[in-house]
Amino acid sequence: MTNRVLEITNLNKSFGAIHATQDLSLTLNTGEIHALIGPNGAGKSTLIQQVTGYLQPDSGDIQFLGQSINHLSPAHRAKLGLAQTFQVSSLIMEYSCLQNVVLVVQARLGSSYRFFAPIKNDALLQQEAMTYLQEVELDKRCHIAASALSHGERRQLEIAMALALEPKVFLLDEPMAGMDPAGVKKLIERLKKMCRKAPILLVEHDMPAVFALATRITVLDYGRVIATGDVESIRNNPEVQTAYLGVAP
Amino acid sequence: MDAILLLEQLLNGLQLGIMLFLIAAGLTLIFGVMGLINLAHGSLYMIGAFACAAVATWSGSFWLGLMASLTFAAAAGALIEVVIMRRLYHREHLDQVLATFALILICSEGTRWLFGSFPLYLDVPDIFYGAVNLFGVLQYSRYRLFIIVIGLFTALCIYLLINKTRIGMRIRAGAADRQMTAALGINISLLYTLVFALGAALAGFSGALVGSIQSVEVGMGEPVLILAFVVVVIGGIGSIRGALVGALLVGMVDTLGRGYLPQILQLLLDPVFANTLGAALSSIAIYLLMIVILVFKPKGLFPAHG
Amino acid sequence: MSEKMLNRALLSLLIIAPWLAHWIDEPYYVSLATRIAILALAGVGLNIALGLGGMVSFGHAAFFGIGGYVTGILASHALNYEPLFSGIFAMSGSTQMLFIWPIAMLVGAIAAIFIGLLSLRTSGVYFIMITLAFAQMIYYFSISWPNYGGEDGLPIYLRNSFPGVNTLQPIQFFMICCTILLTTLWGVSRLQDSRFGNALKALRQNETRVAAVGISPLGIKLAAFVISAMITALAGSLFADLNRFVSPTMFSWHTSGQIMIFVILGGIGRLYGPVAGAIMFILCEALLGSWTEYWQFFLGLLLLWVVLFARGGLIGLLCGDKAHD
Repeated sequence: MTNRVLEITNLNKSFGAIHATQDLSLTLNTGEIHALIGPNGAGKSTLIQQVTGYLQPDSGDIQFLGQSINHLSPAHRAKLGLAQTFQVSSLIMEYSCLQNVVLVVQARLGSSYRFFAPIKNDALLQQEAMTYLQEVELDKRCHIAASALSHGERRQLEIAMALALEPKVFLLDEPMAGMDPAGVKKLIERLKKMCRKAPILLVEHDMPAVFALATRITVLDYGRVIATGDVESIRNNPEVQTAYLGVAP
Repeated sequence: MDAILLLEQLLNGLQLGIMLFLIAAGLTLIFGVMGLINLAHGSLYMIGAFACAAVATWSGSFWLGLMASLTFAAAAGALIEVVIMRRLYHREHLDQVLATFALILICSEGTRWLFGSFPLYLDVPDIFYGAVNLFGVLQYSRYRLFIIVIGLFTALCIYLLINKTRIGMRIRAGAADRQMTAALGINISLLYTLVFALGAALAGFSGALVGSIQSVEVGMGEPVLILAFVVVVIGGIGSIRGALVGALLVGMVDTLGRGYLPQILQLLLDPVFANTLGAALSSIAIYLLMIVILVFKPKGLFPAHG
Repeated sequence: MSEKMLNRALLSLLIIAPWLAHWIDEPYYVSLATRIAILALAGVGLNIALGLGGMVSFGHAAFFGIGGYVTGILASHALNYEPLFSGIFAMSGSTQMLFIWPIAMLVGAIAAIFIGLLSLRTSGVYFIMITLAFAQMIYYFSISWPNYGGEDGLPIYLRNSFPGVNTLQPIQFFMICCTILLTTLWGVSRLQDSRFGNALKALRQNETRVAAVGISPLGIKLAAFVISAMITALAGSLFADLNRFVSPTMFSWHTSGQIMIFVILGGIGRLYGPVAGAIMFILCEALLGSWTEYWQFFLGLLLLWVVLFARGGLIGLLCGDKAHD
């Protein structure tokens, strides 16, 4: 029990006639990368949004570090240690890379209700933010506005912001989307390092990356879990092959 | 309470509600289809009233005046749309608020320049003078009754136009999904001009109708505009049905509040204080109504898509 | 021209011009400058919500008017020796600015908490219309509630006093208003670079992201809305003392629109934008107004032009786009 960080039990969510999440249960343990795969419309994004708090489930429970977080706001969940990266990069566009990360460090290190002290003079805040940029190799671009970054750099900045939260769980929503093969390779190495800090719930379409990274894989289809297991068992599961990989059994 | 008086108040409320609907319908359509918040809608109401008064005085015919209000307001609306509003559709709401606020200043001062500061009076045709006997018990102003009837007729026309015609189908499609409508190859800029002119014509028409009850003066559109905003917010921005329900609700609450709130409070409080409080409360009753509705339904009674 | 230089030039103009007018004995121009300082202050207040936080409040007249009415009501009670409330909350009126200002700001803050909590649940057009409706509600209430003059407004027979200053002398009252404006500008310059300002500016750009890093958007927005309202209420209090009169017009939506115009004419989101905007507005009014009775027609044209073609306002026009720091 001690190493169970995130535990989702019997979650249900429907939009009208569409049952986007059906009686879904899932766990995330320390040290693991748990990949969530499934065809488009399988309910992966809906699930992530329920975990992060942007959607309320119809029924079921989400426990984070042994505490039910169903009723908490997205901001509160982040404060508890749920870090997410977005499928489509979501940054403070007019801010520089450094300012983006500073905002995260500021949120973690204490109150945002300080009205008077200039943030620029807060050396601790700036230095700490810089270390996360170094970690994703964006430190040389620290004064560039987020709006001027390339697609790949934006994805890196998203990762830096997730790291800066020093979270208990990473929720990564398709971090490889739109990356070139070299970028994907780098990111795979980075995620391997990251999962030593906190376990990762990874939604990803890039199958080779998933097979390279995941400790466990859960396959979703029509909002239901159709299989859970390690890489080998999923690769060989006939049901998964028909539903998702498109291979006849 | 006096049943006859109540009936009269109900009719007055209905009349206010229907006029509000004619204004709010344009406002909510323009928002729904073009995503534009148009403060200058009240100016179109004023333009309609002035056009009616000027033409009616010049020609001696109230009916010509009414026609003129429709034509002038629609033309002014089309002109404003083509020259100014087009540049605003993709801008932030703040820009739209400011630009249309600027338009109010231009329209109001321009009208004052042309017509002077004195109010104009608009006479109703002889057949509408006096009162008509309703249900054998109530003497009700013929003209107000005419407004109710013609207002209901116009509302019905809007309903048929939006729901039964090809152009209405396009307008509905535009309100539901702007990109989609463009992708279907409908001439968007023509559609927008038409919707704007239609909204303007409705506002101008109601301005002309109400102008005969009140005086026709600069600034007459502003209190009405804000009432129409309340209607649109209560009904749900972009929803015609919401505008109708909201308009009737606001018309009734406002009229009945002014009529009965002081009396109701007198049952509980000292009469002088009750009168004061009643008058003050009834002047803000619709805003209180709006707040209560928004607490429970932050997107209004009939939230439109998106 | 750099923005810093322009700001200094604007301030020098605002401070030196009334002293010149004072020396050549033209009190009208001193009071014109006082109006500029007060209206700029109201704009600085709105700019916190509008420029930094992206909250398009179309109801700041509510706070401006509340500041004014608190001042008028306290002064009239002090003059008539009537206690303000009875019972345990008994409180007498006052003619001391140092007492009136905090009360005006406090009442403004309470109103802002109430209005903010209800209207910040919504966004976009709804927020604009709801803030407008709240201001209208107070406007109609002030007209129909007869105790403090109703539609006719409430005179303040003697300008309220400030220790060691003869407030009745225009230049001295100007210096009070100008000092408050400068202090507020300095305070806001600190605010926008603080942790709070950092969160607030980020919120304007991307609310989802701010929530995702663990900062609750509602709290930050509400705090900004309240601070913004308090500054505008203080401006309202000074405005009441300047005119020695308060009336429901202070609550009208034209007032809300005007405060917004100061912010826009000068340049939205810039610290000195409202100062530049208020100077432009009042000069327009004085110059065009002496030439034609219909000066608002031309004000409308100017505003329309700024919105359509010169989004940065005056400061943007002279100094170019806002630099990223």
